[in-house]
Amino acid sequence: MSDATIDLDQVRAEIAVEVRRRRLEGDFDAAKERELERLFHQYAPVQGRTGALGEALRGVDAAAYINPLVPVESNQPAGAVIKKSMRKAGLWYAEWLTGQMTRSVSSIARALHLIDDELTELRARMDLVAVSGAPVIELEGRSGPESWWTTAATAAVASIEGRVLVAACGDGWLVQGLLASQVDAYGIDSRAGKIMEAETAGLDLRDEDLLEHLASVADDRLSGIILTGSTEALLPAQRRTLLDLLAVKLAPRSVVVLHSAHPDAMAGDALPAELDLAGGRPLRPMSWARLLEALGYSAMVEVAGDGRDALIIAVRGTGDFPAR
Amino acid sequence: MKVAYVTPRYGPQVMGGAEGAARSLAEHLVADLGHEAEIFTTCAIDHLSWDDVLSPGTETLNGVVVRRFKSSKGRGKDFFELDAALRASPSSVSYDEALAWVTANGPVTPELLDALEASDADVVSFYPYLFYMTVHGLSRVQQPAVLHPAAHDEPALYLKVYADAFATADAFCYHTRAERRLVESVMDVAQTPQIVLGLGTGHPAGSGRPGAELAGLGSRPYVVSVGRVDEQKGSVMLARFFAEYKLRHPGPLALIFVGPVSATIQAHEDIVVTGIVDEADKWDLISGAELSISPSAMESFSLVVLEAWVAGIPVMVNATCGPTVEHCERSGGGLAFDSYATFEVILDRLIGDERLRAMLGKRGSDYVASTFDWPVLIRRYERFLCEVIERGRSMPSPASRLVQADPRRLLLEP
Repeated sequence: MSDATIDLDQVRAEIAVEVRRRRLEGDFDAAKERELERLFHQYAPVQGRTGALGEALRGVDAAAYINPLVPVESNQPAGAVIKKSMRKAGLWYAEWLTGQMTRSVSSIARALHLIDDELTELRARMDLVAVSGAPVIELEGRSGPESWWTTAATAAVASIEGRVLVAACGDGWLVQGLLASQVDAYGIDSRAGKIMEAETAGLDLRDEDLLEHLASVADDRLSGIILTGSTEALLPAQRRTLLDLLAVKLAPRSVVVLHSAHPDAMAGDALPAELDLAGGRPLRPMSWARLLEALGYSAMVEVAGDGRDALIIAVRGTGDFPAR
Repeated sequence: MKVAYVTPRYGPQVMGGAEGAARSLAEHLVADLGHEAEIFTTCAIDHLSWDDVLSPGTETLNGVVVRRFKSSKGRGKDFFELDAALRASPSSVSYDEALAWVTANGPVTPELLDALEASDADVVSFYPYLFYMTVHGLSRVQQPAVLHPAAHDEPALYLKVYADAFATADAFCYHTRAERRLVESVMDVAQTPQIVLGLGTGHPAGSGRPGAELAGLGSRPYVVSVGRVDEQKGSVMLARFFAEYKLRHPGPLALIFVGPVSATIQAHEDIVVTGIVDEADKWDLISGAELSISPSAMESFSLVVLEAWVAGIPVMVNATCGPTVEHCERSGGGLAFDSYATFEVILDRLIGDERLRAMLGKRGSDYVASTFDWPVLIRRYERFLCEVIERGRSMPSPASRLVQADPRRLLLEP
């Protein structure tokens, strides 16, 4: 076996199994492991640490008790005696006040603990139904500069000013084409391996999920978006989120180009298995058109000759559809 | 092309990561590609006080024009109190309080900003995000502005004033994808043009002496950890993990810490702390190691991980450190530990499997050569800057709070 054939994923899996085996067999002293665990997490960033709310609550608990005994130390010889007398004289009042404050803070802390409990339970339930980003659905023969829809998609954004996002951009072929047409394009694709080469060569491509990326775009700052293979597997709630994001992230004058598998193609074997595994299904092209029209776009639909996929071009505030 | 860099410290005396990176980029643009570079910086060396210790004025360092300006204020005495107050909940701090924090953090450099506005550079690069000159300079330059954030997941990043500063940048130059993810999770800037550039790496410059001998270990096998020996960098944790490992796995394996020391490492017969060593010794110590360990969770890039791969040895990294984990995932040149248990099992596996070590070292080495070798990296950077210049400056809106924060600008507004 040559070195190149060592499978690193396999090595990682074997390491995980070995860790579990040693723990199960009591190979590690649990108390010592906890101590080392604390040391490990001491300077770990908050995002990488679990239980941050629990830690904050421990801080609240520790601060909940309000001490009525004010300090009496003093630099002046008689100061401490005077302060002590004042404290004694006012102690009944201070105790009455601090007692109420302690009860008040404690009840807030109790409420926060209940929220923490609820959140913990909710998180456990959410884990059962949570989905990561929807997979990219790439139809055979429908990706690349020779695809039937590419010319129309490029023409739709050719004359607009500002940035145009391409999702999913794959190896960057469409971004490259748009840049050659003087369109300020960039791309995202959740398949990191697809973009790596073009990204290293200098194209602005990013291995990011569509919805997460759009959520981080400033409002009204995108002039256009080309979606291909990005919407077929979206769950209904994800689709709604996409529409909400398109409404606010795209400029008042903007273009949406959506290339998607046609739902009729689900009946055959042409669509990739990823779509079966994902919960979502492609929408009918006219449904997309109507949804985009509800956002103030004028939309037109074109279905491929073999009916496998469709192109929806929607424009807002830019007047007519681009010439074909 | 003429590139201006704005950075709080500059020069060979400065050990800081971001400032050192700015110097490397400027020097390589000049020496390798024949461009012009000028630096706008302070007279400070110490990043805790920002005291002016170097002379103000202009000098040329390795072909780069360096313009130094005195600060009107270093780090204020009020900084630590203010910092402690804001740290607890930075995102709920008011805009004015955040601006006050930036000023207290220092160095406050009005003269530098005036001179920057008069610069004839084609593009201005700010490096890093944290300081007064970046926060205020980004909204004052007329040229396209590139921000090299060098951002960590730290409380300051969540202060509102930085969202405005980032929004006025025309492009971002990140160290890693993890840094980009972090920035985009805090601010709505995903549409801004960007590049994940990283830092360039040199070639091994050792003298061929056995590292173990240099560290007084004879011929014992050892693992190495290079970088600041600091509690926050995970050094104390690593020493404790390694001591526990040796308790459970007696043998000749040793651990060598290489780098400036600012933490106390408990004395142990299998642990050596060399302190600062020269470049040749550093490379000899890395090259002779079985593997390199980066225990830090707080890295924005981690050149030392890449240097291990340049030397052809594998790495172990802290699994909560986004950038080093990203390097390992993209290269296939290292493994990440997230507890003592995984630390022990990974170390066992790597020490016992020479072929695996060689494969990881080779994959890491290929990754560095294809991405971070200076000739490759500086060409990518040049192309990126040209695109930024071509795209031009999108001036911040006059309504921007940062523009408003500059009293001289208010006088200029009708």
